[in-house]
Amino acid sequence: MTPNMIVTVDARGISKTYGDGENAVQAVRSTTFTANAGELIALVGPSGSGKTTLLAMLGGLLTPSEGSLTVGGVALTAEGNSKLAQFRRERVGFVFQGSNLLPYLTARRNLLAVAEIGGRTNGDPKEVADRLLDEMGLMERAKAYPSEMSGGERQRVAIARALMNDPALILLDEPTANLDTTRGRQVVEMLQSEVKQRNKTALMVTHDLRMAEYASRTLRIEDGVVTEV
Amino acid sequence: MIAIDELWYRRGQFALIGLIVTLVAYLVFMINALGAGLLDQAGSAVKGLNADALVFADNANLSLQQSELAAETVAEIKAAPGVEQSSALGYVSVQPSEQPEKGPVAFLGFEAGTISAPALREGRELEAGETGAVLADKRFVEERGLGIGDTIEVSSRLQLYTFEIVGTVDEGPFFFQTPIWGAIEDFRLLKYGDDPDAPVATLVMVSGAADLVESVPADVPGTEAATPGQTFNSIPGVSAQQGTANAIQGFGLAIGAMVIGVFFYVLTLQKVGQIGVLKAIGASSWFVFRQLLLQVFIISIIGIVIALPLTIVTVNLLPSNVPLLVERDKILMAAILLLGTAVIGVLFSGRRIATVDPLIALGQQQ
Ligand SMILES: Nc1ncnc2c1ncn2[C@@H]1O[C@H](COP(=O)(O)OP(=O)(O)O)[C@@H](O)[C@H]1O
Ligand SMILES: [Mg+2]
Repeated sequence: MTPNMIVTVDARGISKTYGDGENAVQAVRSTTFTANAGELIALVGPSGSGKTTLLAMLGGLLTPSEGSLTVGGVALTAEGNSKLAQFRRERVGFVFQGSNLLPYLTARRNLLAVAEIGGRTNGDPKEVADRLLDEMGLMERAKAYPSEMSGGERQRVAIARALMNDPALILLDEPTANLDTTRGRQVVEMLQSEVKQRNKTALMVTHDLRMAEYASRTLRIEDGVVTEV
Repeated sequence: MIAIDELWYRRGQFALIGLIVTLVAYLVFMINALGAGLLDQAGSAVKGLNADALVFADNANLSLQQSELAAETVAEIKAAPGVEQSSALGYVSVQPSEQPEKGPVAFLGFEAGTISAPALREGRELEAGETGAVLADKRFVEERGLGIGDTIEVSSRLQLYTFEIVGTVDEGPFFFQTPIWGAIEDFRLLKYGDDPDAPVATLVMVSGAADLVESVPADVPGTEAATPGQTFNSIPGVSAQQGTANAIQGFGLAIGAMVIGVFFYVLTLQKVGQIGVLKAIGASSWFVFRQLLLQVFIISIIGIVIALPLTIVTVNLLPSNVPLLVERDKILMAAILLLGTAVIGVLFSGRRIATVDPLIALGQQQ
């Protein structure tokens, strides 16, 4: 680690257990790792191994049952719901497995919605939205509704949306699962260049080892146990 | 705006609820107009009497039918301390010979040139002591196709009397009847014939000192007094009628709130996934609920704005024997209540929104 590296994620012994008693499922077991600005990290592992659970904790959607977790300087272990919402609004960009765009908003409006819910953009929201659409090669599709876009376009809009609030951490849950290889590669290449250019941290869950090639680092998770590859 | 973009995107669905809100508003406004119309028929002329107090015989229970005042009592009331202006008024129900199916009318005997004289609309005033002439209410002439200069024949106590219409007034109905206003002497003739010992008035209108309602009955034995408003409210049936109209309007509002509430609740259930996404990217529940509130507000306002002219047109199209009256303040109040109930109707959806777990955004594939 170079001395001036910014630590975005600092997870120390975090665990997540669903349910209790006989039904308890330990989805993530005492995991410790850090992630720095400028890193695109791939998180790989079989289905049911705890990838989504880990991602949800990093994004403030789930609180760890044990351990301490700091993301972008915010200690996530003991925050209430509205503080967590604020954290997500300000520090995190999510890209979901399905693009999960709002169907009743055009591509551009989907980006502007981030500002409308209170996310702070780095500059005038409209300018930021237009710049991101341009970078994703979506200028022509700005007025298209999600139902009028291809899967690849939707996923690129979703990445642009995730970047709207200038987040410290971008979390992607199988963003290429619904795309063919060519489209998948395009999307991940875009992501890779955003991370490099803007010194972001991205953690991408993927089944697909070809996508993991774009990562600067790969974490493997099995039965809730994370190991560095 | 997310809320407005969504309204536009789902305009088909929202047009449907807009239609339902419009119909509910229309129903509520028509009931409102019916309530106001019934109230008006009960006796807007009574309420509008230009006096501080109306003095009745004390055994009459403020009844316009029962009260009878003798000449000496009338004189005593007029001379009571604090009374500055006064006038006797007589009421008797008479039956016009023409068009009997339209029912009896109120003959109101007043003293020309005093506070009991109605405001002239067309034609000429009655002169003091002038008999055989009347000022007819505008509805009376409109309903019967009569005009100034026409004569009308009425029967009372099995006798026929004729009057010439010399003018029209617009004081409104009196005790569920359209009135004709004539000399107090003619009232006495119609009600009691030419018996010299008969009573001379139904009530005496008095104005002057602030407490005439208490002071006159105290000073003049055998009398009781009330304000025109109190007298109006004691007209038999008025409060029951208004209670009924208000209850029906309340039911209309409650049903409206439920319909709106259920619609938006179903919409919210359909949107749970999208709400999860909004919350996952950091929207607060309050933000999501505000979008819903804004939508309800817009839909309700549109419904109300369509229903209002619809109500006014309907009221004007229906025959005048249907008691309907659009009173601005009352209709506005109903509109505000409707907006309020619409908002209450979506509170349930607010609870549902609050319980949506943003975690579901990670599990769904859209
Ligand atoms: N809400 C939940 N309640 C109970 N168990 C859950 C819940 N979510 C996930 N699990 C369990 O936790 C484990 C890890 O799940 P998940 O994090 O979704 O894995 P992955 O994303 O790698 O497929 C699985 O055994 C799954 O069944
Ligand atoms: Mg998963």
